[in-house]
Amino acid sequence: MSNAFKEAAEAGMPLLRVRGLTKMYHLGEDFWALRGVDIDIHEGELVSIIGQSGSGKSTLLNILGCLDRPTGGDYWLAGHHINKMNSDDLAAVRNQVLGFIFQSFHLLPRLTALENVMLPLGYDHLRKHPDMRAAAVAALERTGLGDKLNNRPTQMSGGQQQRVAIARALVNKPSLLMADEPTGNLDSNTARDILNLFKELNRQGTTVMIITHDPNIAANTNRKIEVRDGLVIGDTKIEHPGVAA
Amino acid sequence: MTYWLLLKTAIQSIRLNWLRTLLTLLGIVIGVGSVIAMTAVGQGAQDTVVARISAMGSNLLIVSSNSTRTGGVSSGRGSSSGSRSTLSITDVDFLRKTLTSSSGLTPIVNATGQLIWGASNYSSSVNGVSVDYLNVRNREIDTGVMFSEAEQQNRATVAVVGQTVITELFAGEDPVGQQIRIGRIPFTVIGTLKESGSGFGGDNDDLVLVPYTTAQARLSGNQYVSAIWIKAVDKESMTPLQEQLTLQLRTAHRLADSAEDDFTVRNQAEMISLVSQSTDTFTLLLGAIAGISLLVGGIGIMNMMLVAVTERTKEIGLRIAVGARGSDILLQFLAESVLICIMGGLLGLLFGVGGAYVLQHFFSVNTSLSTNTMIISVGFAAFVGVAFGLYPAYRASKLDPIEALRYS
Ligand SMILES: Nc1ncnc2c1ncn2[C@@H]1O[C@H](COP(=O)(O)OP(=O)(O)O)[C@@H](O)[C@H]1O
Ligand SMILES: [Mg+2]
Repeated sequence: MSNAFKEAAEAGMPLLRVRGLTKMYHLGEDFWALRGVDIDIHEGELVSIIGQSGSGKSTLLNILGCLDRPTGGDYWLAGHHINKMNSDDLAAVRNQVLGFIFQSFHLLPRLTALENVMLPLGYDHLRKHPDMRAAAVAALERTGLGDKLNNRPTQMSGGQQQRVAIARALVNKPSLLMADEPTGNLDSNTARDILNLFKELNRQGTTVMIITHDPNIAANTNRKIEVRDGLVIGDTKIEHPGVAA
Repeated sequence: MTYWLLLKTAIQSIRLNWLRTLLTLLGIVIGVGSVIAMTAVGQGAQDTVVARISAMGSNLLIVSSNSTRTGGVSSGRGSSSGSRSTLSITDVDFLRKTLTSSSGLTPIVNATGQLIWGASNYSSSVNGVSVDYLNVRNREIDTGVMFSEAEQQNRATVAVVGQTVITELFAGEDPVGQQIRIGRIPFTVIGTLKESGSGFGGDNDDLVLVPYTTAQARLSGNQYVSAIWIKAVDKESMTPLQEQLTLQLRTAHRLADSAEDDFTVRNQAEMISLVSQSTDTFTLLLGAIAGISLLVGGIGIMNMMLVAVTERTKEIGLRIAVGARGSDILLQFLAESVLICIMGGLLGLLFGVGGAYVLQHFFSVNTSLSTNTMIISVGFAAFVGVAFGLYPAYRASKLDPIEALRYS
């Protein structure tokens, strides 16, 4: 990893900061999916980003998740200036700083739950993991799947699959969990369980960022950032978040 | 990713598509197998010929007449029935006196003739030679004795016979002391030659040796010799001896400076290197043809890997999302194609060695397996894995994670 990542975090920086973030797609004509987004997220927060379909939430999260690069603007994560990083550094950030959770789980079907969770550890070029298996088991236990280690995704329910995916995001002990509509493919009961899992992980100290178009889910977080047409149009603290029901 | 993990991942993917992998692998198996078997055949052929040349003796120079047109010149046969030889006994005596670094010399007077013993008869090649013959040709007496200097000077009608003659003419009985006729001349068999085996220019045991003096006086009736075999003292002195010999013979034959030699001098070392060269070329050609099939196999591997990359687009996207570097993805696919090719190479090795064994034992084709060829061809298979796996692996490593994840 380059020096950009090894530098000490800039003093006073929040965990995540974006300024003037823009993203343009070429679709015959230029289309601005993000048109200048400013966000600060601090350690320990449980944040939801809410907006209608097509408002630019996924575009934003892909950039924040270092899977995509912005067209303009600046991005700092854990004090590191992401814009300056090369692709190997970005891979390390995805591997060690972030945990990404997808709407459709994205588990590898031919691997067991345990093997799926171990996957990120194999790509950690900076730290040694003497016991990958133990780390993966611990992560699966945190998401309540300690008894499904050797199941393959096809042998598990949607909720269980998402728990495997969350365990995979957790296994490298990231500073920030990012979930793009994590309950979008689940029934409401399962969705509530997953949401409670996120809240529990947050209580244990993990910063969590959930993207949703569902106001009920947003109401369960501590802070709600509203996005419309590629702009942040609201940022409210929720003093008494609802209990997911 | 650690190498162990790379290997494990590669094995997992291969196991998932084992049938497809196996079919694709066949190209490499056939390639490596045929390289190994083909070069074993080529090398075996070379070994056979070299062994035959070596069996003639060691450090030999063979002088033969240029005007002979019949028979195998290199075997020293065939002047009696063709046009006149340019070599005569005068040359032999002259060379014997003047050559400094020869350790033996024998003329060959050819007199192929009918052998008669009692009621049986057999046609063999009768060679008039000097007592030096045994030394020059690396032959040994089995029973009885070789004729002596005195017998040579006296043109004694004595003969030494080879093993084939014993079986064919004497029906296996001990021939020593027996009276035979060569043509119309009676000879006494005084010795037998130890078996030498099949040599260059035919069966080395199907022959009768008589003193060259006797052969000239009683069988051929003239002074000509069809060849002169000369043994140099060692390998190093062969070339100087050859030069000296050529010069002496030119002088003896009174050849003008502009005239071409009326004789040919063959150098055993040169014959071996000539044969080696031509069979090396032959081996190389066989190897190259087989190598092409290895390349074709490589194209199959590339095709399969391209399909695998497309099929696993989503997986690649996910791996990138959880922190795989481009180089991790590249190595993963490269490891897979190299592993497949090495597996193909090892299977091919098995088939190549097996094929050579079958040819050797069931089709009596002499083969010679070379460890170098085995290492090189399996190594080349691995190289094919890298060369043809590189492009698909590179494509995989350059995938955009978001689009890859969206791929269905
Ligand atoms: N790869 C792309 N190419 C072109 N347009 C895109 C691409 N991805 C998203 N968009 C467009 O950007 C806008 C925002 O998309 P997205 O971020 O997926 O919204 P959301 O996640 O809020 O539903 C949409 O209008 C979508 O059509
Ligand atoms: Mg979306």
